Amino acid sequence: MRSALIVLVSLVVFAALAPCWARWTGHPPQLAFPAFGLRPDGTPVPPGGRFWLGADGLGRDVLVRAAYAARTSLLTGFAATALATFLGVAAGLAGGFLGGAADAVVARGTEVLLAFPFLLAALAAAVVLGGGPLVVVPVVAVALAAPMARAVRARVLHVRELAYVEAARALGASPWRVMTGEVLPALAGPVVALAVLLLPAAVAAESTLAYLGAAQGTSWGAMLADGQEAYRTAWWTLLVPGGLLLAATLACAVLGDALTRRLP
Amino acid sequence: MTEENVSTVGEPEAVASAGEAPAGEALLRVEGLRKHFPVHAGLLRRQVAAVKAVDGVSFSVRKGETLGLVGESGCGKTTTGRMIMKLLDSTAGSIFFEGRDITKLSQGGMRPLRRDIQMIFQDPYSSLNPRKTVGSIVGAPFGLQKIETPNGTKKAVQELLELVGLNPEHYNRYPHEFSGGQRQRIGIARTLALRPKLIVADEPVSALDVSIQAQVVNLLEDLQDELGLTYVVIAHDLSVVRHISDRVAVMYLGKIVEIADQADLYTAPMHPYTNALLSAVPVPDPGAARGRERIRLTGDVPSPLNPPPACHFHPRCWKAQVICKEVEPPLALLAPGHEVACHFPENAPDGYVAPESTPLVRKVDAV
Repeated sequence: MRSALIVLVSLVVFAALAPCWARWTGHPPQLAFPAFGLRPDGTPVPPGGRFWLGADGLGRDVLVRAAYAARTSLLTGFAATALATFLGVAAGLAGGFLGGAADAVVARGTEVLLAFPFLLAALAAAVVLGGGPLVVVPVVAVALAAPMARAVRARVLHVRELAYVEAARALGASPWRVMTGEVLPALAGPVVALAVLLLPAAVAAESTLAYLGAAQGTSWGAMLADGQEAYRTAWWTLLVPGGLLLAATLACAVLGDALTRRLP
Repeated sequence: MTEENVSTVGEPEAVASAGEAPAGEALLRVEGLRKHFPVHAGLLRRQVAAVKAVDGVSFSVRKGETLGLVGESGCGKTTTGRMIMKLLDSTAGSIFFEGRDITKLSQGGMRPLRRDIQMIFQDPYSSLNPRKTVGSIVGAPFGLQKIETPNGTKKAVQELLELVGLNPEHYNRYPHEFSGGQRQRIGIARTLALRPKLIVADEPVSALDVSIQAQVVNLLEDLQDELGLTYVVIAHDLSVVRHISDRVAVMYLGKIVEIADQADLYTAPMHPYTNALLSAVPVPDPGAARGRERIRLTGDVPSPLNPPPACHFHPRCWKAQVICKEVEPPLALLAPGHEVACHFPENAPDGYVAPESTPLVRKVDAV
């Protein structure tokens, strides 16, 4: 758990320092340096010297681009996870607590979302609406809200039958008061644990869309797509963004797993 | 807010003597109370049957007395308690509190009445929110009912904690820091916060260690004397009920089969089921236990989905005759204050004439 936290914090620091990397290396992220970045035969230069982590196929600095890409990937991931958590908790709480028709809508809705091929829907939305973050974040969030809503609903069904919830009702607490005052706090542990587990899924989903060219901006997925053309002569074009993506998702998964076991 | 609702907590009010009503007036009256849980099946979710958890229960509780409600698991005693608390809507029947019909009250309409009717829960572990401090648990009723406490909520809570025998310094602790008995005391303090007139205690001690049970039972009795409380105590432990109750109602499969003063019921039980129950009470004296005749009932409690016709107890009753499965015995007053629903009661008073009938022929289980 501690090592996972260290990895995550390092990644956030690495992303936050993106402009510094650009200043220290003298290479802005979008600028190509065919004169120094490419060898006479047109292949990118390897790590070392002016390019600490090598250059990509166009002669751009892989380190600087990876730092900026980390910003896009992590921010999109966090935003999508936060939105998914909010949507999932709201839907699961409403369904589990109100029961009846509301519950049927939530239960069937999550099933439809889980059964629907996410990538297809996300690609369609990104292509039709454009691949800006305002499209990618909600699309990823809606897909990830389904497992959250399911988990929350199950937990609510359990908690609302507990004697202390009944005690609150017996004291005259209104349904709203019972929901916000007694049931919602009991969800904190599972929701936090599941949110940390959804975070790598969100980061990976964003990278997948970027890799397929459906999301705009520099992200790890877009770098992987670029690197695909150069990796035979330049392994670092794939290894750097791929390694960062792996580190981020693995650290989140380990952390989420530890939290699931530790939180009630 | 009226004046009497801002009464200070912890100061023993003379509630019992303040009531002008004559002794014996019913605080709570329940008439023909029923709860049927529908069973749905099939694609259209049609109702195919109903679990008759409570099937026509009538009783009344006088101000200041304790009514014990006993019976086996699944006989409907807890469901009855939850209906009195209006935590569960009844299928049929009426509930009168202080003469007022509260059966059809909405949750909102019920809210002011919750000050007068409160509940003690069975499980002291699940009945306290583990995320809240003792102070906020016991103080919650004041906020929910918008009751102003003259010296602040904290003071009121500390007085309540003292009243139930807890250290008021424990205000900021969490439930997990307490033992089962202490947790039950916290629950009782919360119940008392609103100064209720009626307390429905659902198995108040069954989750506690035997050595702690006596303490909590005595606490309940002391509080009754001090605050003039009326209790409906739901329990399956006949010794506890005997100790705490003034009157006892015995339930079997959703119906009351016998209701009598505590002393009458324990010394001269009339319903065969009550006899069987009492003979099953463990006696902590090997000498006395050896000479005792124990009634062993055959079979299990039938399903409330499809209860036996007429007298629900007849398939297990050694006195059953043909009439028992044809005519339901009404709950009849056979002795002063002693009502029994049986055609052939034990310890029947002189002059009781059993109905004419022929013995029931049935398979005898091989023992």
